[in-house]
Order: sequence, then C-alpha cells, then structure tokens
Amino acid sequence: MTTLLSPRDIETLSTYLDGQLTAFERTRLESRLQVELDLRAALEEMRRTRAILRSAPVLRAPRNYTIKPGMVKIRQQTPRAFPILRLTSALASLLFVLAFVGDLIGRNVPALVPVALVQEAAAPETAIMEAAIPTQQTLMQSKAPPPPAAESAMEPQPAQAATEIAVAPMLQMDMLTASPAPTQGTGELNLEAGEALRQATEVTPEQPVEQTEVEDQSEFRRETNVGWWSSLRIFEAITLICAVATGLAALFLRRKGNGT
Amino acid sequence: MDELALIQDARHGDLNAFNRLVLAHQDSVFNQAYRVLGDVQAADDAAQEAFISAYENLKSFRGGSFRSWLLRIVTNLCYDELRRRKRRPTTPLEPLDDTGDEIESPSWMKDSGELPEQTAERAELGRAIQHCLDELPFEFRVIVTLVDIQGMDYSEAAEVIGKPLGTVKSRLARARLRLRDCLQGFWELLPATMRLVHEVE
Repeated sequence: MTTLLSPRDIETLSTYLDGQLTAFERTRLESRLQVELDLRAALEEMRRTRAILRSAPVLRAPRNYTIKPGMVKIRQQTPRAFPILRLTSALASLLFVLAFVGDLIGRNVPALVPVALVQEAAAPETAIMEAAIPTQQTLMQSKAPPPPAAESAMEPQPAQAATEIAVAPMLQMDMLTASPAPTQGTGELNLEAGEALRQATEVTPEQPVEQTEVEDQSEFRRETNVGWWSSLRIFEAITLICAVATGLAALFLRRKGNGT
Repeated sequence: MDELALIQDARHGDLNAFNRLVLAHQDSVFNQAYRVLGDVQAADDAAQEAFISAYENLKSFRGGSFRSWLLRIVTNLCYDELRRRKRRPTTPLEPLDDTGDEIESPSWMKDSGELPEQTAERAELGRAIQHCLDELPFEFRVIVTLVDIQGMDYSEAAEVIGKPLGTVKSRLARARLRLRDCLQGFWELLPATMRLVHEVE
C-alpha cells in the first residue's frame, strides 16, 4: 500500500511515469524502487490508474461548432460603448439635477444680495444728503441777524448740539433742524458750530468718491453674479444635452443589440 | 493544414478559415468541456461558446499552441459555468436510472467498428471515469483531463491553466492518487489488465 508514502514521493512517481524527471532524479528513484516494495507497489497502482484514464473513450463532438455569420453578428451587436454611454448618461443626469437644484436655491439669493448692496450703497449717500442740508441751513443762519441775547441765553442747546455735529453728524442734523433759530448772544458758539459744520462738510467732496467705489463694487458684484448664474445655466444646458444624448445613444445601442 | 495561415486569414475576417480550425479542434474542445462539466448539454454549449469567443478574441492570440489557447478558453468557460451552477443549482431534466445517474442517449458516441458488448463496456468505463472525475476539485479535474485524457505534456498543460510546471506536477500527482482511490470502487468494470494491484490480490 502507499499510505505511508509522502506527497513528495507520490509526486515523484507521477512525474516519473510521465518521463518528466531529470536524469539524476530518475536514477535516484530507480535505485529506491529496487529496495522499497511500497514504493514499487505505489508506482504500479499509479501506472494502472493512468492507463485507465488514458483508455477513457474520446468523445466526438455531437455536432459541428462552425460559426455562421449571424452568430458572430449577434454578439457584435452588443457594443462595448453601451456601459460607457449608460454611465455617462447617469453622471450627466446627476450633475444636471445638482446644478438645477443649486440654481433654484440661488434664485432667491440674488434677490437678497442686491437689497443688501443697495442698502450698503444708499446708507452713506443718505448721510451725505442729510449732512449737506443742515450745513446750508447753518450757513444761511450765520448770515441772518442774531437773535436776542435773552433768547440765546435761555436756549444754549443749539450751540452745544452744534459742537457735537463734528462727532455725530446725524445727531447734529436732527438737532439743527429742530432748532432753526440760534441766539445772537452765542456768537462764539455759532462760530464753533460753523467751524464744526465746515469740517463736517469738508467730508462731502470725498463722499462721492466712496459712493462711486461702492457703486463700482456693487456693479462688479452684480456682474459677477450675472456671470456666475449664466455660467451655471450653460452648465445645466450642457449636462442636460449630454444626459439626453448619451441616454438615447445607449437606448439605441441596446435596442440594436437586442435586434428589436 | 497550415494552422498559422488559417489563423492569419481568420484574423482578417475569413470565417471559412476559422471554421476549418474549428473542425480540427472541436472534438478536443468538447471532450475537455465534457470531462470538466460532466454534462453533455452543458459541454455542448460551452464548446460552442468557446469557439465564438475564440473568433471574437482572435487578435489576442499571441502565438504558441492554438489548441492550448482554445482549451484555455473552454476551461475558463467551464469554470464560469460551475460557479454559476453553485450559485443557482438546477435539477436536470433528463431521466435518472436506478443508480441515480442520468440516462444519456449516446448515439453520437457509437463507433461502428465495435461490437455492442464492447460499446457497452466502453460506455461503462467512461461513466466510471467520469464519476471519479466529478469527485475531484475543479483544479485537479482540469489538469488530469489535460494530461491523461487530452494527452498533453506538462508544459502545454501549464500553458492552458496559466500556472508553473511545479503546480502541474503537484496537482496531477494528487489527482491521480484520488482517482486511484475512487476507481477501486469500480474495479469490476475495469478490464482485467487494468485492475488495480490490491484489488486483483
């Protein structure tokens, strides 16, 4: 029996039967076979097993497997481009949906952005307009005859308010418009107020520059937004066309492949 | 038959040239499929599929033995089929005999030069061998079919399975050992000259 033989011995015997051993290995095995009966028995069993296998009837093909043009044509009708087109269509559809949703969300954003920009741009403009009006009024009032001293003594608030104008123009404007008649006895205060107003009005020539810059920035932002949204729409159109075109092409190829 | 010239013509779309190659190798391809799958109908499908696949992929043939290349294709198809069967087992439609084996109608196996008794003996022997082959793992079945039934040498078999010679030697030896054990159960079917030693004793 060959149960005690190692897998290496079995492999050597099998290879020996097929004549695939080297000369050295063959000589070595043959010398072992002369003395080891188990090895010789195993070789004989393997030889018979091999002979049985080689005696197995060789079957003839039940039919001819010759290829007809139609058989190959049918298989060639399933093009390799089909999965690529299908994947492209799916990706393009996904991108289109994302872009479309982004567009829908973004349509509300431009409505908010211009309002903020307009408010931002309008705020200094209003301040300038409001600051300019009391300045003119103050100048006109400084040319007018001074009010009675008693009145001015009784009402020092306009002068004090005028001194605060330089610090807070908005507050100044309110207060000046609320007190149109400064007192005559407060000439120094009026002068100080006039100086403060003059300083305040000195700012006005610079403000149109800032206003222009803000308007430029606002216009730039608007143009940027318009450019962005138009690019998004172009992207949407491209992805939509790509999705539809590749989808139709894949459908066409599939139907063609199915022979329908 | 100039095989290389036929291959070149087939590569240029000459279907007749390829069909001459098919006729030359179809028995070998079918046998390989049948021995590996153990089912005539499945082997028939696999052989046809192998030739269609070979024609479509003829440009990938890099030279060497065309037969080995064909056997490699059909072996891979058999492997796919066995995996498919494992995933979705099916019940054969062919009737079974008393022992549970399928009743085949081997009219195409008949050799007009044999007596009916000889034909029956060969069929029995073939069935016993196939039964033992079916018991082997796929890798062992492929290698023993290539070497002992198809008559390939080790290097050709290594080319078919895409493994080194050492793997061929090892798998073949283990396959023969298992077959020896299996065939001992069918010793009464074997010709007297082929009966295994210890069974004779």
